[in-house]
Amino acid sequence: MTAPTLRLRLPVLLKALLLGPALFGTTLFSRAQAVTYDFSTSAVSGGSQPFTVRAGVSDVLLGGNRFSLAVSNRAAEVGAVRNQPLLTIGTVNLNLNAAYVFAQPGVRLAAGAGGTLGPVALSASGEFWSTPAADQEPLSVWNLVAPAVSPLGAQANLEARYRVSRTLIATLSGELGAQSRVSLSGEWRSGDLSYRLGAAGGVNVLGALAGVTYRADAFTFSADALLGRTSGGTLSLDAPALIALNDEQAIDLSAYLTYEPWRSAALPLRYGLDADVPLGQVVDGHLKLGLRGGSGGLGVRAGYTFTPGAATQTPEPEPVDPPAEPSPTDQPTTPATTQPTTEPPAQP
Amino acid sequence: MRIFPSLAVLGVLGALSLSVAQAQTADDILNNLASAQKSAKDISFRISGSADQGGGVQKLDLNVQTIPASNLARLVFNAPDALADNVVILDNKEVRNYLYLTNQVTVTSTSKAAGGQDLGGLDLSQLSNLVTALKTRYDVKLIGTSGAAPNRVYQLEASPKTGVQGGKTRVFVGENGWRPTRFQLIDGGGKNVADLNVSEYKVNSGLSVARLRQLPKDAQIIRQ
Repeated sequence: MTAPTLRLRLPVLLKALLLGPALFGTTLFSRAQAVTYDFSTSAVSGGSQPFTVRAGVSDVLLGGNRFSLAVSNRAAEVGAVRNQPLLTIGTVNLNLNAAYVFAQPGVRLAAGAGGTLGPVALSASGEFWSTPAADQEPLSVWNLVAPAVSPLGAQANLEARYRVSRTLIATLSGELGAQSRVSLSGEWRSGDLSYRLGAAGGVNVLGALAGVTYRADAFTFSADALLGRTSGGTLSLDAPALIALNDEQAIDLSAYLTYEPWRSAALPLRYGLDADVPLGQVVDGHLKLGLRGGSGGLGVRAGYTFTPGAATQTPEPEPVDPPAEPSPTDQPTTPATTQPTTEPPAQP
Repeated sequence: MRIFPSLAVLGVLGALSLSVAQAQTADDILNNLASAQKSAKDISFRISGSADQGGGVQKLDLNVQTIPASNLARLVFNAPDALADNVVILDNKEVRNYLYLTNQVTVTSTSKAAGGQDLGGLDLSQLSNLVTALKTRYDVKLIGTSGAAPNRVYQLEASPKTGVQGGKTRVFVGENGWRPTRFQLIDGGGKNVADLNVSEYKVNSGLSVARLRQLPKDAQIIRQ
């Protein structure tokens, strides 16, 4: 039984989690780093323990890294991200995530690296787990990017993107794990529309890929299909500003539906609906509501996220500086005795 | 890419425009440009030409839009293809860089971007007082004049005082309309590494802050 240890562990961890960063925030991070707190609860159909309660803190800036910590009645999680933007031409990022799952004690570890430089973008990641994804977060098995459902395993992912020309991007992606596969596709962009064509092959899957994305001002809609011996597809909608609340804030809606019958290591049918509701400029924070479902059941999640100080930082008022007249005496770059009465020197 | 420190200088100088008084020293030209810049609500122009980054000559083409009172500038790349559709938005707080290839936006504090990326030692947070910022770190002198009044073109040369890059930036300023017309970047060895022309120069065309800040809303935001 893990319940007694849980009862002991939770209050202590929660206290450390909430007080620690708060204290740090007033001392170490006196420059008011935007630390984000989130609390959520979820319920899933079936299972002996349908409820999950989780509290976390993220964006804790320390030595150029962003740390996150979270604890739930199922797991304790820690994460770190390091980003290095390369002005104009790209970015490099590294991330690490680890979770210790209480029920049938086990770990879930993930590490990834990615970078963009001019016309090339590469990303690689690896995962290892000794406990199923559902034991850490039951709703995660219906995520758009499907996690393997096995209790023990490892997986490696690789993606390379190359900008062949201004309007054409080639993508090679591969998954090595319980159900390995590789795909190669090209995306051609024309105005608001992008078209994708390619091929995918692997364990129990072989077919052609076709897809289209439409980008409007208020939303992005994508449809993708795999056509082969077993066919399937994905629809997704991302509408970050469909319902405007005021000049600065809007309700963010997103939804997806994917059916991939060839999946043997992950659930073939998955869908999700998410809403992010900003609670106005006076009350700080966001209300997050989510629905996940598909093969084997469904679940709902509600959470509250807030970033202390964010309400006073954003929306940022446009700085209007008093017109400071630049003084010619700021820097003696030219001798003051030279009177500008003659023509400028002729070009040598 | 060594051209980017110089690009910052170029952007700063490019944001200066117009003057009423006849300027005859580098200081006069800069000061008149600065005071005129403050009176302009918005300025937009296109920079196009070629740059040699050591790996061969490359085409460079970008649109620049600025709202001086808001310390806001937006750069949109048209060429080279590898950077086309990338957008850089900078103000005195942060630099937002949209990467078309991965649909990501990197957000960096302006001071960090200037320090970490070594923008020739230029502090972009001082966008509100460009001339002072420029003159603190660069020696700017008038090296030549061509043409006849009222269409003379003054040639300014800025070299970093600390010798950060060892290079120089030349700016051609047209007397007619008082605006930059051409930029040249010279490396430490005296080689012309970039030659860029300014065209489609417009003042007060009604640009809004919201429009200059606009980025694809579905992009992934990467901080710091």
